[in-house]
Amino acid sequence: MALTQVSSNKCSDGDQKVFEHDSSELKCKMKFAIYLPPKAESSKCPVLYWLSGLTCTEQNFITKAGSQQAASEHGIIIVAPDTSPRGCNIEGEDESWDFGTGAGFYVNATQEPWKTNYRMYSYVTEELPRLINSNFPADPEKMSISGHSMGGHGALICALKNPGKYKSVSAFAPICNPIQCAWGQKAFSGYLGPDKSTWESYDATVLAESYSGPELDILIDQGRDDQFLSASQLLPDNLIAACSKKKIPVVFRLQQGYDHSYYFIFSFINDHIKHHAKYLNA
Amino acid sequence: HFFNLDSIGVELKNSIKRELHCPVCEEMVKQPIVLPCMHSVCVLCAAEVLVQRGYPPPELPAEPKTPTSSPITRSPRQTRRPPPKTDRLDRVIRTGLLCGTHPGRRRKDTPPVIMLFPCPTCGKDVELGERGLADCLRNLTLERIVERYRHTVSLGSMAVMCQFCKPPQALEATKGCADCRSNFCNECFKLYHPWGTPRAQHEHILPTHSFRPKVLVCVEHEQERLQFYCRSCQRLLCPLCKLRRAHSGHKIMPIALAYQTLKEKITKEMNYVFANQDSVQAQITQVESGIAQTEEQLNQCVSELRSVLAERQGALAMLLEGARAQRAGALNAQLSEKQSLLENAGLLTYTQELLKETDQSCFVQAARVTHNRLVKAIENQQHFSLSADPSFRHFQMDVSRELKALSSMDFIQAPLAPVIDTQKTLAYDQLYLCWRLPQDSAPAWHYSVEYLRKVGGAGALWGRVLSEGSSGSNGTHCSWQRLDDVGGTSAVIDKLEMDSVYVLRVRGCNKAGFGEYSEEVYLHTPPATVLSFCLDSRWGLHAERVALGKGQTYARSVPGMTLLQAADRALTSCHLTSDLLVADVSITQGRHYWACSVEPGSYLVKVGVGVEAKLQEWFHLPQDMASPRYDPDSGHDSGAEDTQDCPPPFCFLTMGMGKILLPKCGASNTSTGPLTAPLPPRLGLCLDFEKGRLTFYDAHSLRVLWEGTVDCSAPVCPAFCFIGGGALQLQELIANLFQHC
Repeated sequence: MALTQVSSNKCSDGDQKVFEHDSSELKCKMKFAIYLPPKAESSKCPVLYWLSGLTCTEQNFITKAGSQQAASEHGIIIVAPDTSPRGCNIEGEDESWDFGTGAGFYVNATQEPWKTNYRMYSYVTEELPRLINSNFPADPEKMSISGHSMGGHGALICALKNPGKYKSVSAFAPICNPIQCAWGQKAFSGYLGPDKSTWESYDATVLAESYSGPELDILIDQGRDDQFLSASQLLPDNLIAACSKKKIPVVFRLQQGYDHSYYFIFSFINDHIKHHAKYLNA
Repeated sequence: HFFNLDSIGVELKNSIKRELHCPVCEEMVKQPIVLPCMHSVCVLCAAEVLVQRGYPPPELPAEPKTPTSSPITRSPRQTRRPPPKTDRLDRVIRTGLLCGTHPGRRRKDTPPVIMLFPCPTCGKDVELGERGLADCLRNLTLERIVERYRHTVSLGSMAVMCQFCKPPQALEATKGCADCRSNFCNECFKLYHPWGTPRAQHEHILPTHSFRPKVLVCVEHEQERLQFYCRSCQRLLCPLCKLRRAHSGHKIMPIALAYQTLKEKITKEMNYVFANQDSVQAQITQVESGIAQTEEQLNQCVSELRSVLAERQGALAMLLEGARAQRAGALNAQLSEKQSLLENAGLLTYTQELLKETDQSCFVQAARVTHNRLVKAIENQQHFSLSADPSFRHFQMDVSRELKALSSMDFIQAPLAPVIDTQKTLAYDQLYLCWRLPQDSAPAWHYSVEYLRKVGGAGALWGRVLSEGSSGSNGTHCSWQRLDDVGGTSAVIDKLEMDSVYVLRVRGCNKAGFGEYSEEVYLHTPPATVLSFCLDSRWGLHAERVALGKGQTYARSVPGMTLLQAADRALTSCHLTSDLLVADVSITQGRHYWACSVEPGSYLVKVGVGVEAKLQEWFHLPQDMASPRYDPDSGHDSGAEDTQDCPPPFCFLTMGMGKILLPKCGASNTSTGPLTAPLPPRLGLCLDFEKGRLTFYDAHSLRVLWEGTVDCSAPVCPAFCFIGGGALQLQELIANLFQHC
C-alpha cells in the first residue's frame, strides 16, 4: 500500500509528518500523523498510538498537545490516526458531532449503513500497525496506546481486548463505561444495533471485569472541572471499581481545575509519554 | 545487550577471541556453520576436513533468499558481488570439487552418503544428516559477533566509504544496511530509505565490507523462514518442516517464544555467574581487609610495648642518674679532702730527705715534729672512708621474667579443654556440672555447656568419663542443648527426665572464640522423682547420742554422756546402742528416690525404709543389741521361713567396715560366705510404693546393688539406724544447694 506524504515539518529535532493512504478496512482514503524522533535515523524505535476524541482529525493532537518534545527525548514514534472514515457519503454521517464523521468510537460496526466503512477497531489494531511496521523504522514488538475522551475509550478497549499486544496504556478523561452513558448508548445502538450484549465487547469496564492476561499498567488523568465528568458521560469510578476487583493496577489522577480541552492534555502529556517510555524502552 | 566491545581489557578480548575461533583452522571463524553437536566451524574448513577424510566433496549450505531479492525492497545500486575468493576455495575448485552455489547442480547422482565429521571440540565423530553440510545452518549470530569484534579491533584502519555519495564529495560511511547490503553516510541513508516507504524498515548495522543475509531460511524448504523451534529435537523448523511426521508429538513453539525464553534463561545465568564472581571477589576483599586489620592490631600492640619499654628505660635511667648525681656529689666532696692529703707528698719528700741526716741530734730535733705530723697524716688516712657506696648493687636488673613473658607473647588462644571435676559433678533432681581450666590455658570469659539426653534408660552404662566422646559414635540422636554465657565454673541443668542418661560437655570462650570441648561425662538421672526430706528430730529420746546438723540433713552418732560413764565403769562387756532416725516425710504412693552418703569410718549404719507406725512402735520400745530377745534384723527373716506370705514392714541394708552386706533371697549362700559390696561414696534408694519394692543403687552410676521388698500397706518413710559411732549426710536437692538464675 503506497503512502503519500502530505506534509513534513521539523520539530524538536525530529520530524512531524502526515501521510495519506487507501485503507482496505475503511475503504476510503485515510490520513494519519506520525512523529519520528531523531533516534529513528539510526535505529528502530517503539511506537505510541494516539487515538483522538470526538470531532477531532489527525491534526488536533499534533498541533495542540505539545507531545513532540517528550517523544523526541524518549525516542518514541507517535502515530495519530483520524477518528473515523471520511468522505464515504453515508446518509446521516454528518448529522451529529457525536455520531458518524469524527465519531468512529473505535468499533467495527455491524449495522447498515455503517458496517462497510466504520471498522475503526480493525483499522487501529491491524491495518495501521502493519502499515507503520513495513514503512517506517518501527520496532514491531514495542507498541503502546493512548487517547483522549472517545480515544481514551478506544485505547482502553484495544489494550484490554488484545492482552500482550500493547506494552502500556494510558488515557485522558476517557469514556470508561459507554454502555452506561448517553454518548455510548447513542453510538453503540447506531453502530452495533439494539442487542446490548454485542456492546459489551467494546466497553472498557466490562472488559476489565473479565480481563486475563499479562499485567497492564494503566495511567488515567481526569480534569476535575471537566463538564462531561459532571454530566456522567465519562464514569471513571466504574472502571476503577472493576480494576480493583481484578487487581489491575490503575493510577487515577484527578487534576484540580482542569477541563476537557487540549490545554489539559498539553499539561500532562509529558507524564504519559514518560509512563509509556518506561515500558517501551525497557 | 551484548558486550560493549569498545571498552573491555586485553585479557577479556583474548578470552572472547577464543570463543570466536574455528577449532580446525584456529583462526576466527569465517562463514561458520553449526554442526549437529552444536559446535561451530568455518564452512570451508568443514568441507576440507571431510575431503581429507576421503568423502566425496560435500554440498555447501546454499545462499538463502533475502528481502533484497525483490526489486522494491532492494537498494537501487545493489550489485551482485561474487563470493570472496580464498586460497582454500581455489584449492577446492581446482581439485575439481563442486561449489554448492553452482546453478543447475542441486541433486547428486550418487546415493547420499552419511558422513561422519570428526569434531575437534567433541573429540569424536558426529553424524551429519542426509544432505551433509548443507543440513547445517549458518551461525549468522556468530558471524555478526565476529564482525563486530573485528570492527572494534580494526577501528582506525581502512575506512569504509559511502557507496552513494556523488563525487567529488565521497564521505565516510557511518552505517551499513543489511537489506541493501551497502554502506551509507547519514544523508545518503536517509535519501535511500525515505520514511513512508518499505525501505524505511531496513536494518541498520555497522559499516562493513562483508554483508551477510539477514535471516536464516530452512535448508529443505528454501523459501520458508524458520519460524518455529522444536524443543524435543532442539532444531529450528519452518512451517512445512513442522508438519512432518518426524516431529509429531514434539514440543514445538513459535520462534518468538523460544527467543524470549532462551534470552531470559541465559540472561539469568549470566547474571548469576557475574553475581557469583562478585560474591567471591567480595569475600576475597573481606579476607584481605581482615588480615590488614589484624596486622594493624598486632603492630599497635607492639608499638604500645615499645613505648612502655622506652618509658621504663627513661624512668630507670633517670633513677640511675639521680643516684649517680647524688654519689658523685658526695664523692666530689671527698675528692677535695683527699687532695688535701696529697699535701703529704711534700711531707714525705721532706721525710725522705730527713732520713738522710746522719747527725743524730739534728735528726731527732727535726724528726720530732715530723713524727707528729706523720702520725696525724696516718690517722687521717685510716679514718678515711668513702662516703658513697661505690657498688651499684641496688641497680642491677633482672629482666629474665620480662623476657620470658615477652618471648611467650602470642595471639590470644582459645581456652583449652576444661577438666570436669568428677567428684563434685552429680545428677540428682538436677544436673550439677563442675569444672576447671587447665593451668596453662588462656582464661575464658564464659563457658558454654552442652547436654544431651541419650535415648534409653540407665541400663548397664557406668557413669565413667568417656574419652574423646564423639557424638556420632552412637548413631543419630537429637542435637545438643546449650547453656550459653555461663559465668563461673559450674552449671546446673534442670528440667530433667528421670531414668535417663545425659551426656555433658563444656567449653570455654574468650576473645579468640570457643575452645576445645572437655571430655564428655555421662550422668545417670535417678529412676524416679527425687524425694526431699530432713531427719526428724522430734523423737528426742536419743538426743544425747545423735547430733543433727546442717539443716537436719546431717546426723552423727556419738556415745553420749551416759554411755561414756557406763564405759568408764565397764571393761569387758560393752553396750552398743541402736539409734533410729526417721525422715520427716512419709510416702503413700508412687515411686521416689533419694540419696545419702554414709561416712566411711562409720561403725555400723543401716539405711532403708520402714512402715511409719511400726518404726514408731519400735522407737518407743528401744531394742537393745545385746539383749537375747533382739532378733538381728537384716531386712528379711533369715532362714526362719523360706516362704513368706507378706513382706516385712521394713527393709534395710547394713553397712560397716566400708562395705555393705548384701543379703541373699533364699538359703543357698552359706557355702560361699556372705556377699558384700564396697560402700559407694553415695548411696541411692528408690521405693516403688505400689510394687512394695525398695532398690539400692550406687548413686553415681545408678548400678543396682540390691533389691528388697517391703510391706506398703501403710505409709512408709525413709529411715536410718546408727549402731555405734557413725555419720551420715542426706543428699540435698541441687536446686536448694546452688542458687542459679
